[in-house]
Amino acid sequence: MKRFNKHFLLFSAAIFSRLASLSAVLIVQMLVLVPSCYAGAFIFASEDEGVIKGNGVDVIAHPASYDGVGGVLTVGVCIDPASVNTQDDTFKITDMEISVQNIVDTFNKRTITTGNLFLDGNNNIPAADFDFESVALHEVGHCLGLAHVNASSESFSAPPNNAAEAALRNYTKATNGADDIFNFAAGADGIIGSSDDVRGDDVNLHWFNNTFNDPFQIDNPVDSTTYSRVLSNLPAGDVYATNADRNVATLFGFQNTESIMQQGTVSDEAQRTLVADEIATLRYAMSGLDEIAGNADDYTLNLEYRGITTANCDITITLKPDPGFAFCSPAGFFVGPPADQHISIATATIVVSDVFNWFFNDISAVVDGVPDAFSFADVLDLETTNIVVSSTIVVTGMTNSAAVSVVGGEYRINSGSFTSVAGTVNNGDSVILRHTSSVDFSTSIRTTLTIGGESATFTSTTKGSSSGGGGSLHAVVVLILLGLIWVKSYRRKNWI
Amino acid sequence: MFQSLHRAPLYVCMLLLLMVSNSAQASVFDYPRDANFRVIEYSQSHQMILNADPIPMLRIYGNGRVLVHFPVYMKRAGDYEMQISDIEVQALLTLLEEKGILKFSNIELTKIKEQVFATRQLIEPGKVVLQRSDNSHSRFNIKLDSYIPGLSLIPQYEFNKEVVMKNLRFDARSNPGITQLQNAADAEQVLRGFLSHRDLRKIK
Repeated sequence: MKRFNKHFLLFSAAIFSRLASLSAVLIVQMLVLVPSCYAGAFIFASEDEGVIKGNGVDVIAHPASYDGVGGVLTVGVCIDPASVNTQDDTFKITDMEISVQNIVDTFNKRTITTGNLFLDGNNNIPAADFDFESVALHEVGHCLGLAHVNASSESFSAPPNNAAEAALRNYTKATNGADDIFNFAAGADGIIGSSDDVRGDDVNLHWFNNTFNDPFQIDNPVDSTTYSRVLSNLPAGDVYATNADRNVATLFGFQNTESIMQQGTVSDEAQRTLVADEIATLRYAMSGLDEIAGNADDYTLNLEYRGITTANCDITITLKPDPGFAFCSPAGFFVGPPADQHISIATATIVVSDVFNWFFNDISAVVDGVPDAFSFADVLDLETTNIVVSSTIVVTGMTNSAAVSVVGGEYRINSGSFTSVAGTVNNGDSVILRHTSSVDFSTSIRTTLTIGGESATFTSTTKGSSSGGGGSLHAVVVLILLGLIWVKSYRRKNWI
Repeated sequence: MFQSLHRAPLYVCMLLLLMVSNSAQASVFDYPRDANFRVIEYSQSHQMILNADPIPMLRIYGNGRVLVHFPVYMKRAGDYEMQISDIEVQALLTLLEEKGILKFSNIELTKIKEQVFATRQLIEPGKVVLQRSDNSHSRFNIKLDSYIPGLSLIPQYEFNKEVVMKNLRFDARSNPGITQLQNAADAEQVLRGFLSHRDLRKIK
């Protein structure tokens, strides 16, 4: 068959030369099989694309099935017990814990930082490794409702072919508008993502401050009175919502500073703290359905690390074989009123592929890991110089391990040995104390346990020296003997 | 066909896939049988990685030489090689054709996008689903001196087809009813089988 076709090919070459010349033209087809989600500052924001209906460019995203009721909104963060690293025999699932606990703490503190990029020798990451904590921080941001701040992979149908194409991704997040083409240009200063850039008919998706258009500052309050997505609300002289990437940060005077939601990382890079931009975006969402801070529908975001579990998880992080790198896959529903302006995320899963070199940070950034209050019951009427053991406490309320120390006795964690040497204790651990009761009657011995700054004292007290049945009996016997001696002596004296 | 029993799972998979194909008239793939002509290329790019390595993960040459490359930031960093026969190269090309990689067009693209959207709305009405936050792209590139599709009399000279698909495996899993996605994911799975092949020898 092959031989026949080759002859046929030669015979018909002249007849089909015109068609053949057309087929010889290089065919390059970029196929995009997912509807483009032109997510901006909030992850579900998108416009219509042909017959595919978008969610709208003004959509605000909320985490943990927020339903419009204000208060503390708790987001459970879990590590999937099924996590595996098929590429590394030394991997233990617990390697992920400190990073995840740090991430939970970082989002709870929402501390504004600058200089949050640490490259090469300025971090604890090997040169060819990606920092799990930094990448997972970015993905948790997505799972909380944040989108990329820049024109990222959702905006383009194919990966960049060169540095110039890659640089386009520093433009601030937008849709491509009615003409389905991005019309941006760098403006007079030549810096992509700065306030003089050109938009054309692209629709800005980035929420900016009406007064300063600076993603490295934050206003108070953060709501629709101070922030906007509409470019006509930009400060006088600005025509473009600035992007929170490292080049623009330099314009504002901040070195090595970038939003954690800027898509892209390199090996040997640590970016483990937040800048003002993502905090402002979270706080805008926290202003509730009415987008006005200070009303009953406001919520406070509180992440809780739930452990290596599948129970009560709003965000689940899993490490496993996957052809991707790392991503969050959230699913949500519209919540209102209004009916079409807010989406609440019901579930979110983060997948991290195990085929890459991952560095798992083992340095805890949680400095306020204080447990719930605990106490020990006092023990009374003890014999002297006996070993006394306290009741057992279970350490609760911590998101991280904490220092433990003891004064005046020893402690034991779970089934370990008793010790007086300072150590660390984890949430859920059982702790028990012991000491030797006093050598004296009616005397107390105290042992004080301190965990993460929280302390409690265990007290034992020996019985009184003249109290108790044994002592009374001795006294009676002595009195009887003395009485008998007195009677005998009296009889001798009186010859009775 | 089987140079080594080690390859059996890979080729059994390929044969099974080919058995279900329409083989009324075999296609013709013509290419130089030399070590410098790259017939099949497959790579992945991840938009989260800024220091991406541009070298393709899999290259199969006209003489059957298979080169596998893992960037420095991957667990199996380095370059590996193995050898397959001409028949095996032809079988791979036939597989890629049967799975639609050589045929994808922009019209099909639009149809698939709309199908994905419609399926999603049907299964989960009222629910908003974002497929994923950070995309990865699978890229297939097939080069031939000439290609005559099985049911066609029209040869295509200097055939060069590049297909880039976003989040291919993820979308295939999320949309089991969309045949084109399943086929493309099958083709990718066979090519990815070379990345962990037991016959690979590390050369760098």
